[in-house]
Amino acid sequence: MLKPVFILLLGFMLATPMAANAMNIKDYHKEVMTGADGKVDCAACHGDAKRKTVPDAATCSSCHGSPQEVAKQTQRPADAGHSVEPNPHDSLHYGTDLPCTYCHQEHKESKVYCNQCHEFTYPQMKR
Amino acid sequence: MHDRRSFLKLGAGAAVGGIAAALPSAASATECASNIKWDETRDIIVVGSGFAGLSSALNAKRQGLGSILVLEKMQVIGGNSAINGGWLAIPKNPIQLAQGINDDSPEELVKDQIISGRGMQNTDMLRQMANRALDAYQLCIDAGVKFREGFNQQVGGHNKARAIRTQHGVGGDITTKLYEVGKKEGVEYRLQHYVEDFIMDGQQIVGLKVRQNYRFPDLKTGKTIYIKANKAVILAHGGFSRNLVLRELVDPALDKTLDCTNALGATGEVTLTAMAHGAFPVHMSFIQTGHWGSPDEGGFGWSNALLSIGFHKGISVNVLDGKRFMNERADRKTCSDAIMKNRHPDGSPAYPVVFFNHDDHIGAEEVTRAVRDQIAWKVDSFEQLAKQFNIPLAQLKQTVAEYNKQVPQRIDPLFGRMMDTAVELKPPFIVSRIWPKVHYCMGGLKTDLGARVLHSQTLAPMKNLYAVGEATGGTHGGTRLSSTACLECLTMGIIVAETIKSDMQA
Repeated sequence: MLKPVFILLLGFMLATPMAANAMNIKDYHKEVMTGADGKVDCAACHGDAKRKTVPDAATCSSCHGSPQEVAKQTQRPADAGHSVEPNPHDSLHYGTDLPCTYCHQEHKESKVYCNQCHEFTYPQMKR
Repeated sequence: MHDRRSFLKLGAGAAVGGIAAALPSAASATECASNIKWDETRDIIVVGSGFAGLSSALNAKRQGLGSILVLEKMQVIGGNSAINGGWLAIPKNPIQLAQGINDDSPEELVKDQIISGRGMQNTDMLRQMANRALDAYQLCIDAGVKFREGFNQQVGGHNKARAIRTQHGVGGDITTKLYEVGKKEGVEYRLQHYVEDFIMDGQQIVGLKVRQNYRFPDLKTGKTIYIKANKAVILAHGGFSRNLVLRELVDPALDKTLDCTNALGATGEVTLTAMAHGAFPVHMSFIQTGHWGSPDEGGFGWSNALLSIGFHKGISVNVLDGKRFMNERADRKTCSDAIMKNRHPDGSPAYPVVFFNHDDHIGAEEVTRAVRDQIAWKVDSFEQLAKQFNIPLAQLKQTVAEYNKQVPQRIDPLFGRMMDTAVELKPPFIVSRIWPKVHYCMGGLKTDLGARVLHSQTLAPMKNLYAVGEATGGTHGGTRLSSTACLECLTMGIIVAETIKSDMQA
């Protein structure tokens, strides 16, 4: 539950033009990654080192749960045929080992990694 | 199309960068073993995490060879193995025996491979592989791999039904299991570790220069570390089908008009690095194309499934003249070569079509999905087929009429096709376009029967350097028989561990 002071800060931040060199951030992450000073906490995903790292599964898991837990949320019915898309988080090729960032991109449009070879459609996927 | 194109562009970029990275820099000339400050030490380092790497690492651990480290340059285990079709040719497999097929044997498999290899195969390597087929099968079973119940088929180029298939029809059924078992048994796996160079002491490999936390395909990412290998380095890094520059250098016919079935990481830089240090290459220009490819989808795709119907129940037609042009049931190379001759005068592909009866396959998954994904279309008449794909109508009708006469006679006088599965064709049809995709490199590093890499000057084994799987060359010859790549990788992983153990004792 956001306290009123954070709501005010959030409103203020949204009303302020974003800095020219700022990375685009998804709205659903902006809410939780904006600190009391109105700035986005880049270190939350990228770490404190000067040379930023690409987030690994552990980073995403700190909020979203383990890859296995995420896979359960997108589980398909046991008797589903080819008309139901495969579970994107539990691949027949890689199990639950695919890095989150293979598909989910924070600073640009996300894409379905599987569609190098397949033509899966996931309309509920946040892009 | 956006997703596929962007990924393909990425692959092309990797190919160009990959060549540069693979060539040892001038600085590496000074990096002899005695000058190296090692960051880490292991007994055995395995390069690559496909079937061959996973099998080698697990079997090396089981042979008591000490600490085993697998390096994978991508962010996920499996390479091409994880995305392959999960087929495994095993003479005398339990399902085959249960089907009452008692006249198969390793030697029968070798005979089929000799035909496929067009006389350029290494028969001793093939025989060794075939003789260990049941060991490879047992390795899978022991790891918990499930195969389709009662499923054992005769596939292209094989004279017997001996190909079994994993439960889900993907190699990931095997890679995920071998990976899990390997972890339990103490194998160490490192992702995003790119091999920059070998550290040699004369003709002996003593370790690797590795880029840690590498992010494919950016060659500037990560930091350099040196890992010493006390006993052996096993190269299991696969083929180079994704390396557009290299494959066109060794076979100019494999130009950019051919897409690739492979995973993005199949760029083969480690093969070039090994060659730069004296490893002997063989059959580098022998590159297999999958004749089942579709220009309307990227990568391995669904076309393979669709054409498992099309090549048996339908025919292929040249859109420029409306005639058949090949035996649709011949092997991969014969079909691919025939398909690739379909060109416009300017040399651009005139993609041939394959079509079969729609009404015989209503509801089939292979068809439903292909139509949904727009790699196949339903056409209601000869006129619609001719119009949609710009085929001469009169000749098209004549081609089908002539073919239909041959069906009940079970003969194909034009191309000698096996006609046991052929049916007479009548509209409506399911039709798709075909164009080969680069699939498998028969060439690679020359090894002896024990998987030791041979040196190009001495023709003797390079001490402590081994190679297995698609990274090696010479075994299959002119073209690889279907469902034998997985067999080779798994068996050679067993054999290389045995070799290293005996070499250590020598």
